Amino acid sequence: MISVKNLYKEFKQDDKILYVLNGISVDFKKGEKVAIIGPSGSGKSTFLRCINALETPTSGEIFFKERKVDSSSSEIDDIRKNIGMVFQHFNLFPHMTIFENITFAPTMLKIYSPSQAKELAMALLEKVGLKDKWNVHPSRLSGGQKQRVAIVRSLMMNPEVMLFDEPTSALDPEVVKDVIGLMIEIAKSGMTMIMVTHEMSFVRRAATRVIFMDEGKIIADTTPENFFNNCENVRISKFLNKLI
Amino acid sequence: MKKFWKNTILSILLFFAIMFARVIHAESSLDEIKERGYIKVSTNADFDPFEYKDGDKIIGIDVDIARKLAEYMGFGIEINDVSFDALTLELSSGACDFAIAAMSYSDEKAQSVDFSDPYYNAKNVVIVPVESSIKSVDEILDKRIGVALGFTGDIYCTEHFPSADIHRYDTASDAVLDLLSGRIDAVVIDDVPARKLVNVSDGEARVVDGYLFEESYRVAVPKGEKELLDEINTSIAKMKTDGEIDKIVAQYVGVSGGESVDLIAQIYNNLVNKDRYKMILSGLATTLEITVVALFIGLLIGFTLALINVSKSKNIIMKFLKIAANFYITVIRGTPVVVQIFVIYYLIFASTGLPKLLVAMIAFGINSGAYVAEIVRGGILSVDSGQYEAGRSLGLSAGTTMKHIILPQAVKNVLSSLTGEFINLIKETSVAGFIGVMDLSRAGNIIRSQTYEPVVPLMTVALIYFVLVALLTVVFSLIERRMRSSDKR
Repeated sequence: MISVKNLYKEFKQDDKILYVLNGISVDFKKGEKVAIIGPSGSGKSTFLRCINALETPTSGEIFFKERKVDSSSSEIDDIRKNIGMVFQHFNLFPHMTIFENITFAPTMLKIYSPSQAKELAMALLEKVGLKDKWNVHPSRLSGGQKQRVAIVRSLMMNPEVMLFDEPTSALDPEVVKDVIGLMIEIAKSGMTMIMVTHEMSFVRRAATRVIFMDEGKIIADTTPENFFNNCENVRISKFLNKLI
Repeated sequence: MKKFWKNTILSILLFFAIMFARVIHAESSLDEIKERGYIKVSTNADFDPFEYKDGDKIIGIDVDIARKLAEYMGFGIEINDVSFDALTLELSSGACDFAIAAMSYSDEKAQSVDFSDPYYNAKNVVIVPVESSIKSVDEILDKRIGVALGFTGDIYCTEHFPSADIHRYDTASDAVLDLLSGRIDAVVIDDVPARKLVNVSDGEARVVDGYLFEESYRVAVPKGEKELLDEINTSIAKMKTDGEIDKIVAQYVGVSGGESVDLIAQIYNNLVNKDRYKMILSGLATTLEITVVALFIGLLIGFTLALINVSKSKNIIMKFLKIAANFYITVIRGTPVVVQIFVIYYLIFASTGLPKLLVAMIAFGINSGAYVAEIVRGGILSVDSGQYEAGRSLGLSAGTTMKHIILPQAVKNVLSSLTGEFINLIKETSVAGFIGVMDLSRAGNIIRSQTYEPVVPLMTVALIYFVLVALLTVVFSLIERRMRSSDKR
């Protein structure tokens, strides 16, 4: 479904050049739930953001269902419709109500008629337990509620794949499980998911594949069982030890 | 009497204007007038009794002489009121055929315009407070002397009284006001306005016996228009021999400005008498018209430039537009609005013949656009980049994301700066008078020049601006509060 070929990304910072991605090549299949983990600064967020062209790689190519992902091509908006994205800081639109937040894009892009969008929106809000908040602005919601709305906003587009960029990092510990619960439900529905996360419990329960990144390279690409149980790699065991 | 403004910037403008005018002016003026059937004359209606306004009408000795000249030459006439500083520009840009504004010859002026034979001889006299010890005009040579800026009295005193302390005022009546409050010892001004000023001083000022010097008023025509100049000289000679000029002068000298002293009488004289309040009201309407239209032009330009400026496009055309937008913003923000309105009126729109009011609207719109652009750009940058990413990641185009996600938040963030710009704009339009637009400030100035009483017209104008701004401030803060509270629902 997604094919990444020889991805490199450099940032200029002051006078130095930072090499963030150093040759990433990987394929993602339909229905996979891929957890990307690794120490901070390993390039995992940058890699994720390249997949829907929020970052432009220095070199290398990404294909989504045989179509090249390129931020300057006219096709990019159409590709992005099919790639949902959930951000660490939610990025809800503060000037819109919750209802407007989740229905604006699908009605604007004519994916649903306004009445269809309304029906779906209310059903999804009910599912995440936020139906009574449909007419308030995001500033009235807690972090956990905001992230659930952000996930619903993504789901409303009926995407083929969803990207999660550290979706629980900015949340208070007690609400993390609400968001994780919702993500597990989405995983059960068969959605293809690629997530950058530090939530190992979630990785154990829902991921079908684990990619470990360090210094802009893929160090390991394996199943969760293998990853947690038979780690011979020094860097991985060091990372896991720190988490525990 | 008057001398052309010496401001450096204007001299540069003048230079360009003349260059410009030479390019667009191929036909001789006289031929143009014959084709058109009437003469375009510019004056500066701020010098009672030679040229001033009565209601909306421009009248005075010079104006009547100009009418007579046109009559003798066999043409109709159209008279325009501009600032004195702008007269040369009017001539060289072809906006008028001749200028008549109590001007006398000087070598400096003669470099940019041609002068006719004199049509009137004026004496410059000295006004002092009635209790002053000054008995003859020679005694003022080391005193504090008030003059009207750029008038020949100014030049004469500057040249002949090096040890005097010379104070320059916009109008002679301002100088007399300072004379009566004791800040200066004497005022030097032409005899006709001097008599009138003494009249309205209610016995507090007097004219010293004798005069400092004599000067001749002449008509100014564009440089090199010999045919036109000859026609004018012939007509002036004729008017002198048949006594027309003396008749006109006699008609105006002795016209009293009013003798009001107490406040009620001053208010009556400045606002009610001769329907002067109508001038204020039409000035207010003009100020509002200019502000509102300029605001819309400014918003249009400002938003366009801001969007160009924040665009991330690497397209070559966009890059060029970005450079152009930045150039525009830097130039407009780096120059005074007075200079801009001169450039726009006398250089850019000189040959288009657009009405002054429209030019003023465009000029202030162009000015405001640069400020709005920076405000809006700041607003856009103040919106978290995650908002743009969220919009784009949903498949929304860059334009839709900007319009529906970024701009509403950006505008809300900078609303108070935008309303501040609007309020600034109202006050800034007060310089529209420089190109002769009758806005609120100019209406006040004209009344002041007619009544020689500064208090009521100035305070009235100030009060109107203040009330206007205060009302708008209240309205805007209500709107702002409503917009902010909508987020917290």
